[in-house]
Formats: sequence, C-alpha cells, structure tokens
Amino acid sequence: MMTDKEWEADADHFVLKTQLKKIVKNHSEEYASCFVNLDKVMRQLNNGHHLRAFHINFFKSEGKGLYRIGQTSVSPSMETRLYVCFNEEEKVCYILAVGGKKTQRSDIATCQKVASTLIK
Amino acid sequence: MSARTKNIASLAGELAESDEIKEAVEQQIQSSRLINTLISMRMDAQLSQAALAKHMKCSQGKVSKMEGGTDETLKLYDVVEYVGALDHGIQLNIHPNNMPKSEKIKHHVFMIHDLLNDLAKLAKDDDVNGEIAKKIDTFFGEVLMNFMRGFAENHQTVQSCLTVSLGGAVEGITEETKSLV
Repeated sequence: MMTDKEWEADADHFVLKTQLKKIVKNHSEEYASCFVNLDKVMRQLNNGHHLRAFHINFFKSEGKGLYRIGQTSVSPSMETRLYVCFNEEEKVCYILAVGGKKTQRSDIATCQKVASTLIK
Repeated sequence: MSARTKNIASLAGELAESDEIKEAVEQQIQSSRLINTLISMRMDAQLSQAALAKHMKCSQGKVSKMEGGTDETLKLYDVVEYVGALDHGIQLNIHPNNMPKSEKIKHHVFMIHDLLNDLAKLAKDDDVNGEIAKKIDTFFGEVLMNFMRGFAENHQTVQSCLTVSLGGAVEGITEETKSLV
C-alpha cells in the first residue's frame, strides 16, 4: 500500500508561539507525547491509510479541516494538544499550534483560520 | 522555521528550541515500532478501536491505551490478544545471545523442513482434482529457487574470502568461524 512520495511535516505556519514557550517550559512531557502521536499518524498516512478512516482516540477532527492530536501515556498536569491540518494532494501535514483545554476555543478558531488558507 | 521534514523529532526539538525534547521524542518514536505495526494491522483490517475491542472482549479504552503508549508499556498477553483478534498469531523465538549463527540456521532449516512436511501432507490429502497438490508443487519449486539463489550469493561471498594455499590448507578462517563450520 506504500505510495512513492512520503508525507512531510511543515511548521512554517505555526501560530501562538508565546503559548508554545509556556507549554514547552511547564509541560514538556505532554508536548513530546503529542509529537510522538503525530509520528504515529504520519506513519499510518504513509502506509496508505486515509484520514477519514482513522479511528485513533488521540486523533480528533475539530472541523474545517483542522485536527487535534492529544497526548497519551503521561500523567498530564495539563491536557495538551497539537493542532494540525493536512494537504492530502501535496502530502503535507501543517503543524499549526500547541495548546491546552482552557484555551481550546480560541486556539481552534485561530487554527481553523490558518488551516483554511492552507488546505483549499 | 525550517523547511518541510519527515523527521518529527527534529521538528519538535526545533520548535521547542530544545535538544532534550528532540531526543525524548526520538527515543519514544523508536520505542513505538510494535505499536505502529499493530495500529497499521488494525487499520488494514478496517476496524475501529471499538470494533477491535469487541473482538478482544475488552474495553475500547484498553485498545486506546495500548495504541497511545510505547512498546515498553505493552503486555505480551495483550499483544497476543490484539493480533489474535486480527486473525494473526505470534511466534516467539527465544535463544541465548551467544548462540552461533550456524545453530540459528540449523534451527530455521528444521522449521522450514517441518512446514514443507505439513504442505506435503496437505498435497497428499488433496481430493479436489489435484488442484491443491499442483499449487503446492509450484510453490516447492519457488522455495527451492529462492533458497538456491540466496545460498549461491552468500556462498560466493564466502568463497571469495578464502584463499587455498598450495599445501591445500584453507586460510582466512578465523577462530570464530571455525566454530561455525
């Protein structure tokens, strides 16, 4: 099921950088776990599995092409999630932001705006 | 920020401006090979976590926890159940670390012999116009060809390492290899 071009990640459109610094400083394990789970998602995409066929608990659609990848296997002091969107044609996963539960509403709104410019 | 990359650990480290985080992510990714294989198998079977859990007779939360962890957090019994639910089995091969390669080869030769024996029995019991026997016969030919090809390549490499002296003694064999032959 392998296809020629492999998926790549792109963080050039990352937003909420101040929030990122705080999370990295205070919740580095949760941050790392989100990226490990992102790697799991990318591997399944490279295996030819389609986004819409994904049934993984840490991977959820937030609508308008935005997805969140949660942390697992760490006792979280803050529930952390990574916001991403995908350009399936170009096989690019855009890493947009990292955030927590408290700020999720505004994080999602911000990321959805960025996602809309990347995946149309 | 850097250009597009396939290396998620590097990207995580770069964004966080931390080599420590890069290494932590890298290490956890390395420890997720089995998990990734399991997730892939489940997806190939087009089963959701809930559907697989039903086959495993466990909660969806358990499947989710397995897939969200690393290989180190997996329990052997759970992996057996997981792959069993996907109609697969596990073959464990336990051997001493210092087992010579020649012994390992012998072990695999015996295993291949047993499996071929099973197929030969299957051909003998074939009562569907010899169709199964014909397919097994073709397969035997393929096995022999593949084995001969692999054997010839490696044998050639071994022979190129040997220089036979005028007295007929074989040179170039170390003490270690002597114990293998």
